[in-house]
Amino acid sequence: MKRTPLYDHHLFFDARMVKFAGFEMPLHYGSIEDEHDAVRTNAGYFDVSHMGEFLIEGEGATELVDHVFSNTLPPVGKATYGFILEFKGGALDDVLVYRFAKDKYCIVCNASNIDKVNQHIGYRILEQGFKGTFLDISDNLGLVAVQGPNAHTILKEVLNDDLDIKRFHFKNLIFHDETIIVSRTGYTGEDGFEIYGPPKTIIKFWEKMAETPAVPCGLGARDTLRFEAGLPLYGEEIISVLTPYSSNLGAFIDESKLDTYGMRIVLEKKEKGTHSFLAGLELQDKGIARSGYGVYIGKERVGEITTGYKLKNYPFAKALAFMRHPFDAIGTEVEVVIRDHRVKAVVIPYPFYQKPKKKKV
Amino acid sequence: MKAPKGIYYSESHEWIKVEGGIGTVGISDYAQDSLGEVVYIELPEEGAPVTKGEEFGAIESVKAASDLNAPVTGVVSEVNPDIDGTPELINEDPYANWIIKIEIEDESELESLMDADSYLTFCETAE
Repeated sequence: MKRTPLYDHHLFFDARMVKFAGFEMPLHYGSIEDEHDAVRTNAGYFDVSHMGEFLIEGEGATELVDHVFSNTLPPVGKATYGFILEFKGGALDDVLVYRFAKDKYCIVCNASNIDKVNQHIGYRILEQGFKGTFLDISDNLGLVAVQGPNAHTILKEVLNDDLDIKRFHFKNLIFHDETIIVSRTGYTGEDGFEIYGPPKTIIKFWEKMAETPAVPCGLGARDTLRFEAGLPLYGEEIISVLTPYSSNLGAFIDESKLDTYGMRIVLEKKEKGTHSFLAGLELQDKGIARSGYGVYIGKERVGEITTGYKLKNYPFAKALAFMRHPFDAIGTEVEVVIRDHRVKAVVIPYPFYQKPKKKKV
Repeated sequence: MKAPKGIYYSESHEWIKVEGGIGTVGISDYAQDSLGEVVYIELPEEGAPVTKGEEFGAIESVKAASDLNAPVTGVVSEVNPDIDGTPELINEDPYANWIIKIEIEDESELESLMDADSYLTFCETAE
């Protein structure tokens, strides 16, 4: 079982530790609900050092990244979300691509897919040829996300910088004599930042965060927050047997990039038709629709639950589900089978949460 | 972790307190702590038959659903009306906030359950 550089700090904070993607990670530090609320109303900080990072650098790096990434490459100083497509046109993973220089990139992937991504790009290098550096740097990097309406104010103080960074942009800063990367990204539906740095520096950063009003948060709240904000999780809302079009994520596929691996087949599948789409569900009675539960109209199975929660401010549970078209239409009445009984549910729009718009001063 | 004496515990982390042929059933402190915040409890109807070791309901936390298993065979004589609307009471005090009462068919079934000391050892080895 792998541990992040912050493992001892989690124990010190009395975290409930769980196994996740081969790591011992904090699920919560006392209450998932309180941590969730802290991120919505104040600020929370998360250890997400388990995420995978790959460095791709040198002549030909741009061609290689372009070949494995579904979306348009970012300009220098920016990060872009998209997919690594596999040979049948499904997503092998969803990733963020950071561009540090003309021919220097970092691909950030899910912890559960590190080996798969490593091998996939390795094979693309065998086939395409690449003389530069391709390196798994996951173990050399710590990563902490700071998220919430007060994240900016709190971080400005901690990092002693104005952090005038636009959404999906990043910059390098010096913190305790080491270079860290501060990017305005996150996975909670709130404003926020992600801070990459060497393990020892990330520990110092975590200790600094512990002196602020921000609250340490575990993977439990990370999942309820991203669920509520309609952000997909690989393995649930993004699965290799369906294309990203089913996940309503077609905007992250640059269809002009025909030479990108998996692109032709994904477009072929799109041409043939997408039969199911991700949708929101709201239960009409007690019970929680969880991943793997079936959605029915009468005897016909019309949907698959991907994630579901009953959060404090909801009268009944909500869920995300792949629904067979046209049953993904808002207002469609369905039933979810929970253990031995059926609970009525209705298709509703998602995301269930959107951050309040900033008031103009 | 609390495990009061004088009551019995099952391997699936329910407790049962027996008075005059009636068993009051809840989940242990260990169980509520492992589950985390309880958001919903699926309860049986009064009069429903239950079988030792088999599911009589379910308890759901933010993160997961778990079965509730009957520690003895019998008939549900009462369901705690308080926990239906406020399941978080289970987290606050899992021993005061019972879930169901069972009219026990055969009290000798209690012999296969654990006392507080054995249960604490059981939980430690489960860690």
